[in-house]
Amino acid sequence: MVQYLGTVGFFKALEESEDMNSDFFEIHCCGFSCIPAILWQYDSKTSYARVSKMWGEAIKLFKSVSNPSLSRMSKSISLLYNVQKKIKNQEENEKMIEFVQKWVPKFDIDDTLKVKVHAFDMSEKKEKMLFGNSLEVLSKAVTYPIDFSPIDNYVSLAWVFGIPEGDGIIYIDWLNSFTPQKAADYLLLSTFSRTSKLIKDRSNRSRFSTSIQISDVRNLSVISNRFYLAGKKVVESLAMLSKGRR
Amino acid sequence: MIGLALEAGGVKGFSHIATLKVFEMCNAKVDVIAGSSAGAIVGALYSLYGDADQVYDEFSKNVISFLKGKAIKSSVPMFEFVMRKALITLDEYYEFFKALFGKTKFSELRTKLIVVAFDCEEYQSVVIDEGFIVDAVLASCTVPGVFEPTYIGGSKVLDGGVLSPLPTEELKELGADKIVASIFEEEIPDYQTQFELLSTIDTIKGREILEEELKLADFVFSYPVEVEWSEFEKHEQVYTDAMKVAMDRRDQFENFIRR
Repeated sequence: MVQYLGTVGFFKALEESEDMNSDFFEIHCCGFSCIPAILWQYDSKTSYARVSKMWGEAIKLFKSVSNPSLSRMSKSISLLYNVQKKIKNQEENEKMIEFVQKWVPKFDIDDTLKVKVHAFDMSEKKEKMLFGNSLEVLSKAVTYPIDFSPIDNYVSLAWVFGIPEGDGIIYIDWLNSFTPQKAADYLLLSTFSRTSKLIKDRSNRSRFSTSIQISDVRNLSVISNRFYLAGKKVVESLAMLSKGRR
Repeated sequence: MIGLALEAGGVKGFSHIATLKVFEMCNAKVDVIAGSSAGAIVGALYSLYGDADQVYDEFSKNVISFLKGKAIKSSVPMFEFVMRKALITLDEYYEFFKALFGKTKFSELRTKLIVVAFDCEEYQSVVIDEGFIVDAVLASCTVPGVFEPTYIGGSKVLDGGVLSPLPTEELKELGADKIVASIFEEEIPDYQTQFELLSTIDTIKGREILEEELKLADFVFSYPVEVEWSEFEKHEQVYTDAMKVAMDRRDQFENFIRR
């Protein structure tokens, strides 16, 4: 969901930590959280301003995931079935790629950077870390299946396993009341419950995890502040672990 | 305590009977069976009769009878159901389970059984091990997007395969120290449309959950089955193919069980 752009608040918490320059930290991200992560990696001083500027456009462009409503998504699924929309229809993908090109600087993402971008490779059916041109990497990491086709066979990992593995995990616990009625409603309920389970399993395997509860937050400063506060907890816990290991 | 976990999978569940045959051939006793969906049907029948051949006869007889003119008689891809405005009611479906289990209760079974369903209000799996078998197994088999959900103990529930396709964790919690798993090898379906892409992703999630559950298994019977879950007219072929695979694993299983 677009609210993951608020992870820019997490990076502020990270910068305030003494251990942020330590080799100990790596940031593994997927979906929309990769945008602030990559912007922070590129220039930590301007990342909030950049995210703040793109926020309004992101909310409009990524409607299905800016105010996620299961009943609306259910209608989208029925529509997708009705029109039998082919994967090769790239028109929507172009809008998303243009968005990335407009807001993200082009630079090389290599394996020496702290930020590691995860996406799901549909051809090999595997989660992968992406390296190379930042624009291509982010387009592959953000593309989500209800509105977009896979890019070079990649879709957002957020729609498959929910989050990457990590020692510390922050995720959005999305509160949404939903009374399923039709077949598509139950399919949606079942597939999102699977994602929630996979997130829970990965959180249980992490050393520390925390969630941010969201129902309908459309204000970047509010959501980024929540990520900041949650981020402080995660960073402190992981810094203690780091010291314990040394 | 030996626990047997049986995977969800519609007609593919007939493969589990081959696993039970091997248990019998090796004189190995199952202490507790855990099943989701079709795994729950086979598990419940074995817990009731304690005889793999009888499980096949009862399940097969009822499938043939049910297929005559009923709603899910052929291979209908899952997504075909999405466009139905109304879900299939459980009335007809209930008759199928009633014919299999009548008014038998969990307390009357020869072998301890746990049936897993998905609580769609709490978004988690729920273990059912008391009350009438017919209610528990029906709840565990209500495929989301196809059948309307049912109620168990006041909770709205769906197919156990949603979050616990292979209930090994539930067996572990019950105290099983050796867990045997019976599963299917499935190709992840390809996609041409945006809708099929969503369906493929859902299958990938299910496989990921299964992989985690498999980590708790000490011995695995894995059956390559190339049929859709709803192709019940192919149940005999599924069972016959599974028997060949199971027989190939018999010696290894015997070694495992005697260890």
